[in-house]
Amino acid sequence: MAYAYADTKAVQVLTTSTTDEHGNAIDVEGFVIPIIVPLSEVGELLGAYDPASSTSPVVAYSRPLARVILDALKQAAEAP
Amino acid sequence: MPVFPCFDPTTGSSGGSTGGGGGGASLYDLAWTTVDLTDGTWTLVDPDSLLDSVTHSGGYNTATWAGTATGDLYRWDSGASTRAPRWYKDLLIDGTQVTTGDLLTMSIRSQLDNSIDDFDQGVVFGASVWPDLNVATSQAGIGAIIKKTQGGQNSYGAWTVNSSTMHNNREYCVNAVTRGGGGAGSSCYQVFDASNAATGTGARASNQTGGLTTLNVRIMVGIGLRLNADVVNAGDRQRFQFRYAAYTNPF
Repeated sequence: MAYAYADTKAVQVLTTSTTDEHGNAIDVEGFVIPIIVPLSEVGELLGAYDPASSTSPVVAYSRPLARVILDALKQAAEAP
Repeated sequence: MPVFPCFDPTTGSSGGSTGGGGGGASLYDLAWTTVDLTDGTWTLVDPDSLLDSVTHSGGYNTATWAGTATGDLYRWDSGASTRAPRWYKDLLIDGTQVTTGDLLTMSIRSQLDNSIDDFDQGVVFGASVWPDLNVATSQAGIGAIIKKTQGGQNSYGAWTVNSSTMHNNREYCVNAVTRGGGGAGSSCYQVFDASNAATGTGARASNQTGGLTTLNVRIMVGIGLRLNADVVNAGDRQRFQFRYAAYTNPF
């Protein structure tokens, strides 16, 4: 099973005012890409992630996660 | 606001009960109730005395500010608290007070008069629990939001507690808000152009559940800023229209 999936049918360009992952207020226009992390993968992902380390997560996790986002973004951005 | 029975409970035919209770009105093309902040039914909460006046004409409310304000305390979709002016009243349906335990659905049509363009503005309308308090999670507001940059076009979307999701450069917006069972619910919307063609959709969840089920639900209008760095000054105006229709269903 993949570590995450993008809900590509729900990708939209929106202006969003909310709080980001660091607790900071943001107001930004951009692609909203819903990411689904299976519950079965949460333990492994968080167990391997150290927020205090600049080299975490390792490429075995970071690359698949990044590709989920980038594949969905590419599909949405290049859609006719 | 009246309640219109949709179906005969015995026969299932449309138009409401025909057996003893008389026929009900159709829900097809149900008329909107227009928000008139001058009709004497609304309570103003203005912690910092920033409202100068409000008038109503042509279905639009025009609020005029009395002082200068900036920062997230004067926005409705940012920050933990809001001190911006707001109006509220109890939500009654056919004389019955709607509570946080009721399964409520509310439609909202929102539109900004962009000929009034005095500052970078935001305005909200929706259902709330404690609109008279300043803490956003206590207000638990959910509904529609309009924002506009001075010189720019109108943006419309969903407002939930202290956040928003919007489409830019649209003519007007219709939201469908659902809440009940103690939760603040969610708001979804469709935006339109001037010819009533749909030009986008969006939604936002409150993620606020597990609340009390016995509190009164109120409807509220809040005026304020578009972004934290924006500034409103004395004499600046906002002209906006909100229309709504609300009903409850059994669980």
